[in-house]
Amino acid sequence: MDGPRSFRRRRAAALTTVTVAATALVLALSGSRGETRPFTDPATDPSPEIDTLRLLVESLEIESALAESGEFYLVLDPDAFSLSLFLDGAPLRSYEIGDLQTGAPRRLFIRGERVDPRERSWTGAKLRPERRVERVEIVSDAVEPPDPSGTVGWIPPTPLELNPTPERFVVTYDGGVSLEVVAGEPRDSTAAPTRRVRGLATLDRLRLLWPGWEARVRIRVILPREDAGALYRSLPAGSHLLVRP
Amino acid sequence: MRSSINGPRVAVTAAGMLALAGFAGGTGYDFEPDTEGAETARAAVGAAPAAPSARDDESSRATAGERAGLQAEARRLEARLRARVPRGGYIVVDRAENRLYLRRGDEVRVDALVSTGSGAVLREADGARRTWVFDTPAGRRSVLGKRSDPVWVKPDWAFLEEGRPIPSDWTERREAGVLGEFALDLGDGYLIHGTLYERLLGRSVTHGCIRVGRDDLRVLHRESRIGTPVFIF
Repeated sequence: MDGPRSFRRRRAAALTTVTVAATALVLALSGSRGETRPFTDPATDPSPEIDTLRLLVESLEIESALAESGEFYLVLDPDAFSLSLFLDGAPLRSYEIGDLQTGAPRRLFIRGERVDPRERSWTGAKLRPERRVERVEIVSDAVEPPDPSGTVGWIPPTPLELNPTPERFVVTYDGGVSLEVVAGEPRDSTAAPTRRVRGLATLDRLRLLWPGWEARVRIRVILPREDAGALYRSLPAGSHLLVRP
Repeated sequence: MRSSINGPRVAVTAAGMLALAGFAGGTGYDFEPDTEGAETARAAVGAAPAAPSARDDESSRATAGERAGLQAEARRLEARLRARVPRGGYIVVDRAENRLYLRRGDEVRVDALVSTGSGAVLREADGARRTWVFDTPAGRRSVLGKRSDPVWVKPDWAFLEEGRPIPSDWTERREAGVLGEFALDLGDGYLIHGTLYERLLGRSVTHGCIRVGRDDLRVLHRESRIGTPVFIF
């Protein structure tokens, strides 16, 4: 049987918990309207032009290093609205950007700290959803001699058949940047999401609730469907990303 | 006696609802258009450094000097990057799309549907128990040789794959006519060549070589040189 002391303790605990929850709610709501931190703050910088030039030189040094690395890299140029794949400094394929946005993660309603994606190159590209890869395995003693009529028994699927263009996919990079690619014209971006898109968004939200998740900034680009599909099917795994200033 | 105040439960429920509301709303990111910084950085390279006036102090002269130094460094790096782009044209092969491009600067001279490696794996059941993976390797290569009317010298896997014994006489390996009119040698046994199976262009069916249709192959052969870079991704 509970006594008055126990009752007071429970009431105090209840009040504490309610206070904490209310504070969290206030913080959450105020956080949802918080301003995004700009990449550079001209108000506190006495020489923004010098800083802009420094950022450009640093970016060009990074791009030069990537060009000499012998590895594939994507260059996102927000000024030119272009996304291009390079190897050894040679442009291999360009993807036309219809629209470009940057986003900061939100836990509940609180916007997380945003990082400047231009400050370095990002490595270790991984696709979500992953591409399908089909490998047929042939063992030499189980092979039938070819049909003398020349008929091909099995025709493999085309790349598009094997990996249809997703409505939306994400390329994650080590260290906290992710590139979200939406297939379609800008006006289509508000269209009702497909089941796959909803699934991807749910996965994102689940990951954001996970404390160790480091997706600190997301860059969303809207590409024509053909370009989005080509990028999805062709992006070399483990490639780099550079965002030009 | 049970307390009528169930504060913790109410609070937890409220917090749970709050979490659900947050979870259900939006994509997990707050987005905004990103035009920040656009143009300013590149424009700053071309801008002439401000000439210091008589009233400028030491600090502003230092700033002008730093600006000029940074602009010069940016131009030097941009020139270095431009110099890396092959001047005389280059070949790009997109394995996932099964397309080949012959590029010269920003111009695409050839846009061809091709066939690249099937990705199939062949295992030798007896003997040396070798394994072959029929991929077209990604990376940079170059045209090492150009051949007209190439003859295919069939490697071991070509016989194993057909369930035939490997011949001891090398003349039995020679097969004319199957590689089309021309072949560009990329090294390590990989070729860009023609095909008898043009209906399969666009599909990944080869043993690693890049098969091109007859008309595109003629242009490629004409426009490429020994040393033309080939980028495969």
